[in-house]
Amino acid sequence: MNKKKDLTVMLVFLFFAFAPLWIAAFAYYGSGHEYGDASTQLLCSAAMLCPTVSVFITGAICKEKIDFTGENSLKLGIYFKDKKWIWMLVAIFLPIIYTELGGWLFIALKPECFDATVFTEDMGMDPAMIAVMPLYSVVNAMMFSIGGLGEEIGWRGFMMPRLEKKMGIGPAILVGGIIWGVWHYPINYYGHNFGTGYWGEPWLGFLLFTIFTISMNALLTLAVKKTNSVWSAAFMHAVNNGAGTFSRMLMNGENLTGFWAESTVQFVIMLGPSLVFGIIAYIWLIKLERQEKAVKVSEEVQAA
Amino acid sequence: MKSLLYKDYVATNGPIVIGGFGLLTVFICVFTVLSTVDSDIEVLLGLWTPMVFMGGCVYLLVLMSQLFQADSGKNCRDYLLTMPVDKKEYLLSKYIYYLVANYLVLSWGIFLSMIAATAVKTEGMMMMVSTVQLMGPIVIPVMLIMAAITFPLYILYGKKKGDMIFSGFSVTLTILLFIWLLFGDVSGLTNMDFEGNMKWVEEHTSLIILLTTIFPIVTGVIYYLSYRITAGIFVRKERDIDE
Repeated sequence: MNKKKDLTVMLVFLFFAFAPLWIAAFAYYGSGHEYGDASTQLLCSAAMLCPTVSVFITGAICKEKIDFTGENSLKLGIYFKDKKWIWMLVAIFLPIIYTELGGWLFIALKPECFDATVFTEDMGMDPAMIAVMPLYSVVNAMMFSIGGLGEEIGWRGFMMPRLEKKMGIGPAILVGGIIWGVWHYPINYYGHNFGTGYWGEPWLGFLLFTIFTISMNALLTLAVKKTNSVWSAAFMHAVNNGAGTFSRMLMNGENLTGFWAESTVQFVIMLGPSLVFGIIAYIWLIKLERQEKAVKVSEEVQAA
Repeated sequence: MKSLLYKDYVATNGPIVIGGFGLLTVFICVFTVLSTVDSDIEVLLGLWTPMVFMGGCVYLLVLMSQLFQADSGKNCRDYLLTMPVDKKEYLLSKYIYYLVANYLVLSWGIFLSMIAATAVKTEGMMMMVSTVQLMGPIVIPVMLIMAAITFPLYILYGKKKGDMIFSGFSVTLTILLFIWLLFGDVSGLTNMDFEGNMKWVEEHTSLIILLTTIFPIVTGVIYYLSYRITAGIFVRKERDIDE
């Protein structure tokens, strides 16, 4: 009975999380609108709230109790004690670090991409301002993190604990990451992240994005576990989406030609460091699960 | 904490306020749809969007006092503090509630500007709509700084005295403004050039970015310090009274 109810809850949640974005994206872009127009920002931002809305619809339909804080809740509280504040800071600044590393890795491989005039001439900024840009992007992302929060409440606050309970953390990270990746497919299809006309479109884009979401799922889940709060994941998500790094400010994509311009290789190289961090987070989560199990077993033994 | 936040949500008529904000959103949505049919409405949309957002900011001003209004009547706060509620927790709930309200109003304003931006075509109106995104990171921290100043007054001196101090301060500022309007150099206001101002903003992007980076951080520090200092005094003061 419980298994059946768990499955129903998950299916209802996924339906209401997926349906609005999939229907809106195919209806809007399918009717001839181009990805990147004025409505795109609205569509993407509104879509980011769907997982949260879906949580409450699921709660109402399946009569599932939705708590905001505490055990088995959406983890909406913020805690700073027991070194949780350190993890909160790590969650906020880690996206800047891996995006920076990825950017410099790409510049090292394609030096012709480096263009110091982009920042001053194209963006019309004072050269000294480049030092402020990473911090600016972090502050901005935190202030406008409602979209990130909208996704995180649904994916990391509601879906992941249920998947973890069902199948353990390892498979849950993979399955959760795939679900999260598939959710993005309609906008990926119309040009999100990879643009259009790249080699292997759209399947290669789907595959790469899914690998990326699996890795990000590990990182975000670890952030939630370490801080016991979805806010850390929301901030991390927001900073990841809008990371303004030095390398990005000094990179000119127009200098790319041929295979480098028409393929997804740029995405792969730039997100390489995040994959490494994702793998570390994945291993960490599995170790954490083993430790928790060991503690549980020893407690049971002592009780017996 | 959860219960204290819920108490504030009910005491400040949270459901009605959310309904009001929902209606304003519908209002902007209707204008957005109409402006795709009648291009003249685009001007109204461009003007109304920042105005509606400012309405949200005015609500935040009212909320500052409202948060303490319900607690001041019928010795509600004294009764509350006889329960197993930590005084620091009580104070923290006020600061957190106000912070969350600011975060939500800012996010709501950004969504409004996104909705309006889908229909606005002319450059001038686009600028008007995007002022919400420019104003937000400045106006919201200003609200938080005001709260960081007024909350200690309400907590330490009570609602009435707090209101009096706050009103006295506001009235003084208003009188100074009137004096400036009557006797000062107001040529800058009469010759206000909106496009010129926007051009200035474009030319001084670096300064704007620097301000929008530093200002929220400084605000966060002030807000936190306000809580810590007020909590310290509040706990001691109550203890003095108990003794």
